[in-house]
Amino acid sequence: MPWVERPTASLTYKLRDESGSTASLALDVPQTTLADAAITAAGVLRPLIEAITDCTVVSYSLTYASYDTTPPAPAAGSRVERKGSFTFRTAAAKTVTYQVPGIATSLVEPTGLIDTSDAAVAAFAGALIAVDAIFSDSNGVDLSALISAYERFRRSTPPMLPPGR
Amino acid sequence: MAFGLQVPAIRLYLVDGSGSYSQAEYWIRPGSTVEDGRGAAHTMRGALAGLTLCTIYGFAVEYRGVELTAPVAAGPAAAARTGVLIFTTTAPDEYAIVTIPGVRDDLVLTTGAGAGVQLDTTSPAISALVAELTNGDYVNPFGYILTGLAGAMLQIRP
Repeated sequence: MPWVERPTASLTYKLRDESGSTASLALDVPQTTLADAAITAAGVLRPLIEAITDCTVVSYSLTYASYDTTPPAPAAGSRVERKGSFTFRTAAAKTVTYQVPGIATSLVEPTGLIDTSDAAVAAFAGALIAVDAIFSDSNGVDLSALISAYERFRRSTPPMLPPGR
Repeated sequence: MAFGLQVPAIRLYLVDGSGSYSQAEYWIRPGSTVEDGRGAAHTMRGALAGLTLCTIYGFAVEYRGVELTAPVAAGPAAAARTGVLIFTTTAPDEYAIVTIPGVRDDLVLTTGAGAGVQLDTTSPAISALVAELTNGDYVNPFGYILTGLAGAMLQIRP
């Protein structure tokens, strides 16, 4: 199940007009472009874009994507709406919550809590809070401990509903 | 006005047995390189293997910048009035399209056969943008470098 990188990375600007409507301007850069170089280029390009549009540039995103060319089939009965919700404490004594779509039902206790003594759950939490782990909260602060884990359901969006219903 | 760089993130793409899709996003340390992000995605893929019944079919490493003090757009801008720039690339018969939402009205030709549709490619503003996009850093989705402007026109894209 190898990952294959897309040939390009996407640089997408979000623009907003006078009425508040938004639209995108999408560009591609080689997948080998370093993030720092692409971010610098995004800053250089911005005033050039603003010189030809009456919209305001409000944000950009730079995305490097990879795909599995031979993904295995998902397990029967799996549903992305069934989430595992994991809340972590950070080194700044705040919390951050990460969700796992399609949480394995074997990990969920009758109360709805997730069995944190399970080896797979412990390994997942450990990967996020390890001393040398790269993961953080939205402020870039390291995670320090798992404080809660439970099952929750999210609303199905129209594409998630069965066709021909 | 400068972009504020947010904390980078990895995003995993999942699909379930019914064919529904979802994503799971995890922030990673500021300053992480793309390779750091890919490593994190591989780590997370392994860590999630025992937790989810879904299939993880892809991932992305994402960097975002946000303008914290975005000014109000000048009127009468309309995002739907889109400038479409067509570029030649290093590959024959391969092109790239760059769209500019809310393209300025004064860049649209008012005389000649292309009046009301074509953009003024002699405009210094368009020339400067084209020069930047053809400096070798930008490619089309297939990886071919943009080499020159082949055409520029106005489209309404609601």
